[in-house]
Amino acid sequence: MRRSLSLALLAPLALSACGFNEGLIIEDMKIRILVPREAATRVMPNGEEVTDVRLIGPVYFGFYADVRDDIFGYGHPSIGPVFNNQVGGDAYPYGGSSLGDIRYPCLEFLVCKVVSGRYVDFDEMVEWFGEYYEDPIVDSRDNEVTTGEYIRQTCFERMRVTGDDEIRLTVYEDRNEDGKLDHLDLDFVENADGDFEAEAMVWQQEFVEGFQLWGWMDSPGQVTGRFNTCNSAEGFLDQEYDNNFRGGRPHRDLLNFPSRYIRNTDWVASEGKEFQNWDDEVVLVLDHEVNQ
Amino acid sequence: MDTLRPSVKMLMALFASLFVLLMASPALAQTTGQLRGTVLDEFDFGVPNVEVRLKGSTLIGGEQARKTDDNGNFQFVELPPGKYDLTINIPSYAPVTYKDIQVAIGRTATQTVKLQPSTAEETIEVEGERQVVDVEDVGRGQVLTKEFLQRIPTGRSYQSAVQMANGVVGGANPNMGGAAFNENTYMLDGANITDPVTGTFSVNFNYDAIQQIEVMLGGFMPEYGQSLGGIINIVTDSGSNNLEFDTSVFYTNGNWRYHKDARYTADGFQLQPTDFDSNFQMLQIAGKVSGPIVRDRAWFIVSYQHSRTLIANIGIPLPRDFDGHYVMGKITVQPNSEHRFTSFLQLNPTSIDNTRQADIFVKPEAQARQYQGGFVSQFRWQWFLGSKANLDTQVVVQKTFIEVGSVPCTHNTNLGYNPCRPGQREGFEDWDTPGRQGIFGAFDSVNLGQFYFDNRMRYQASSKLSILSVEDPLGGSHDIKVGVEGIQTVWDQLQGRSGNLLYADINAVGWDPLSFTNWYRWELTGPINFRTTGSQWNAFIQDAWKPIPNLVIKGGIRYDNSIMRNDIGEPVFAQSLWGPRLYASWDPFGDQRTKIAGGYGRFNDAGRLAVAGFTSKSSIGAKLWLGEFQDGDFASNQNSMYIYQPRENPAIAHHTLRAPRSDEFNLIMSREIMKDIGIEIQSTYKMTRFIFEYDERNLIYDEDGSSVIGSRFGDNLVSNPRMRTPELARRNYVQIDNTFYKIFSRRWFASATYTYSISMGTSTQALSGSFANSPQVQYNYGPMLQTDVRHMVKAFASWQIPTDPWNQTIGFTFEYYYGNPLERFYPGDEPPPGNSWNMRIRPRGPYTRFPDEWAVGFKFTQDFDVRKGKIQLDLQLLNAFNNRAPANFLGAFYTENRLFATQRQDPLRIQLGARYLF
Repeated sequence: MRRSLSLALLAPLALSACGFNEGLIIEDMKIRILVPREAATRVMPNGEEVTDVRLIGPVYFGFYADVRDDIFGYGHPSIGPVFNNQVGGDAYPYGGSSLGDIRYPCLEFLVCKVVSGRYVDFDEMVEWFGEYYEDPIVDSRDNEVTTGEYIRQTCFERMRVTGDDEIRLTVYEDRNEDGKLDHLDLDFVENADGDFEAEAMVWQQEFVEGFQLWGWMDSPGQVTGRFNTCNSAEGFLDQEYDNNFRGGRPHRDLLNFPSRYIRNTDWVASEGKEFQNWDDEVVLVLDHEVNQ
Repeated sequence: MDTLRPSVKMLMALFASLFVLLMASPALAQTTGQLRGTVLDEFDFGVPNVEVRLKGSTLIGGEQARKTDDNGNFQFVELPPGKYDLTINIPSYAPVTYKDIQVAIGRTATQTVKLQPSTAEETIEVEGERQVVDVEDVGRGQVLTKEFLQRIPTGRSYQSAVQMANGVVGGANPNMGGAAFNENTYMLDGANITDPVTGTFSVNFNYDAIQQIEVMLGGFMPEYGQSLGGIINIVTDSGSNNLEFDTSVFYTNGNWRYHKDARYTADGFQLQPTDFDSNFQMLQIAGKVSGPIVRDRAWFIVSYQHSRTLIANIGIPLPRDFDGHYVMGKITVQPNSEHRFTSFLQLNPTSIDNTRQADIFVKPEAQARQYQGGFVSQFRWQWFLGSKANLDTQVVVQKTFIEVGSVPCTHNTNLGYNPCRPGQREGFEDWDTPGRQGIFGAFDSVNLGQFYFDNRMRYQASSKLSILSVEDPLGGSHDIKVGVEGIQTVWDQLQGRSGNLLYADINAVGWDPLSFTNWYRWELTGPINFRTTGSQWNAFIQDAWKPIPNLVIKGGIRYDNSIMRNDIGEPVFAQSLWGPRLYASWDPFGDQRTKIAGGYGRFNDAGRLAVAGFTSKSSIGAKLWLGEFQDGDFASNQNSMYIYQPRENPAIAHHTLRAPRSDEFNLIMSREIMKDIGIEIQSTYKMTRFIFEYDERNLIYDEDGSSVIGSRFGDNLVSNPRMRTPELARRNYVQIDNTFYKIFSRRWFASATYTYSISMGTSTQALSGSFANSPQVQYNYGPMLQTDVRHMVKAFASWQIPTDPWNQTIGFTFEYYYGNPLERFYPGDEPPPGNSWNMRIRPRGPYTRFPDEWAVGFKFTQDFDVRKGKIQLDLQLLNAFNNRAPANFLGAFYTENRLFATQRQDPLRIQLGARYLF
């Protein structure tokens, strides 16, 4: 009896404190983003109207206290005090991320013009700028680049990598697991309504009940295809032989001062999507084209 | 005291325990072992009420005697580790002495005494039982005896010797039991000497004064705590009734070895970095005197070791000059059979000159000296309340200090060290002249330019009451221990810059020192001085219950309470922790040759001062002014100031920090397969949770974590770290050791262990910044931890060649480690260049592994008997085949798609030694 009792006393101790909640909800939050078909449709410099995911620029999204449409004439998070008449105050995001990254594109010509998750392969870049923009890609000696493989090899050489998955400008994983790398493995995939949908993740986001998801899409420039949110004076420094340029990177305050970077033809969410629980299934719709 | 009844004594002991509890805190490690046995007659019946006598050279107080109980059993407890002789002499039986019974720390030696009818009076001497399987031990680990330390080739330090224990990986601060290098506990004669700030070792120690080292990897009882990894429990010599003298000299020179893989350009630069390869010398001079002050009543030991090492990286003109002096004194007094007092003092002042060895661009006057050391002082009282109870009480004060400043100047130009300017006195240290820090190939010059004084104090007091062989009316007996301990830790820091200025210089034309010019200048707010403190107390109760002769159930619980306070007294970390343990060991055949043991234990990390230091408010403020290189004018006005850095530390701790913990399950199976030879399988599964981590609380990153696109708290783009202990910060660890061994007998011993281990998790080490790169970096679920060695072999052997009267001993080691995993990193865009890394979300997992690493060690010792004492010559080869597998890689590996080794395994080290003992 006494033996059983002593063991019985020890057992609950051994099982104690098996669960603990830090009281801090930090989760990988999964969201969906919907870009209307119109946002991916444009009359290109060659005169052709196209609908193409390559017209969907980087999408920036964050969690904010609320979203109002009376500040700038389009949906925009509330802002803090305005210290400068030219720009709004800080929007104080709780967190956020992007879908489609601006990153070092290996050729100076492409700086701030390409975003990840939009090209199946490098040939599509050659086609996009050569045919649709009628502005062929050139290398550091101003020779026209006619094959995607040239860009790819340049990336391998400059970045000292050996795989497309390390460059991460083109499709490199079979996301839909259909056995091939194609348009269905890009960030945005056309849905049954003809709009484009994507899944995005905000890693390790600290959840605040009631915060609202809001975002916008930086559309490529009409003539050059450049992205306004890209800072070409920063980023990876390519300094080899006849190359000497910065690879570009996003500005550092995109989620704090979105209005500084939102221009006509960009698409924004006209309203925020409120979260009551961190795992709410939320679709952020970029439904409003800025046109002021 | 003999007139007091045992119950009164026990009461007094409890009061003594309470007194110590009120005084202070913990150091409850075992420093002794015990011996149990049975006296059997010729019919194998237990012989009751006969006297058994025990003596040993390490046993102060003289010979001890015990009467056997009704079943013929006897027990000697609290025996200092060493060798013992057991004698029984009763009428009608031949007197018999069992010689050289080995008693080890925390272990139970057993001896069965077989009486033979005889009328002869001459004592029969029999070699004592050498225990192949300790059927009562439930822990994982091993004891490194003095024989092991003297016969096996290892570096002459306890840190090196521990490397030979199974499952131990890494360097001086090893990974043990699947834990990080800073999650172990170091004990010296029962005192916790773990660095109270970093969780690493804090004391260098006289190697020859070590009696035994117990290396515990898991399954330890509640008397041990505050460790998620292993415990290194060192017990020192105490002396004996014989006056003994031991002096030795050991020397090694790097030029004795061949430079296997160093390749140089014509101008002397090394093409392939090979770590310390060009300049290495080590000299160790040691002396030890021990003996009686009063025979059997008072012993002393004094030990001194001087260690001097000159070691320089390839191409570095100045060697790192390590100059350490380790002094130990200990007095043990046992005035009667009831009380033993021990007083211990260890000092280890050490200076290390020219510590900056990373690159050649450091002028001698910009070199650093690190002066370090401290003391450990202990007073211990062991009160033997009869043969079955004792009270062990100790008070320990430890100080560790580190002082970093400019290297003192010298007028001796031969060494090439920092030259004194005319008029400067020898040894002058410059605290006033601002240093000039070279960037991109410019030299650091003028002065080191910074200083750092660091004092770490630990005050601890503890008391442990042991009540042994308490009969259970339901059967069997209990060994019960109750202990309490209190610790106060204090961390004082003073840091600053000489002259409160720091210049950063650059060569305007790359690699051309003539174009040396100033790039920028920092103006600093001045030195800061602050204190961080910690208070801990803990208590435990444990029992070893032996309900039947071949089964031991060990269980108990430990309570740890701790508070860590930052520099303004805020409690950063406050915990009340329970650590239950339950183990059992079963000898299925009851023949002391087989063991099946296992159990569960919870281990808690009660925190360290680094946790509180993380959030300390003190920080050096600074203003940055652009220099000549950028046409700056250093004008002290707001317009020309480039960056203002406030004098505050932006780091915070999450308010619900909790203690990291491990839950461990063990299973051990041992079997003596033939005389003196055994096999053992030890396996463990360990889950560690809530490891200290920090994340960024302000920066928002883009999709793959390469670039910052926003900030949570305004537009401050300097990372503001936050310490957390999320459930996700964790490790899961499996280790299986398969050992084939022969214990020391017939002049030789040997052991070979194959270890298979897997470590999976998210956090390589406590207090790491592994979450701090960017939140987009997913937690690391891959096999990425340093303990993920997968395959490891450790073998050693020693043979004492039978060439009496001169002894020759050879020793041998073999170590093999499967390569550590590496994941590929890529540079991020955050400034400054190379300061940010992102692992990118895909692909994840190990990109490659380090090349396998293996090494062979060899040792030869020749003894010469001289008229008084003996001389011992010693030759030791560590890494005899000079393997140089890479041990670390340049960050560029991650971007350049190739392994670029910056550090390699220690090269061949040939060491010669001479020793004189009497």
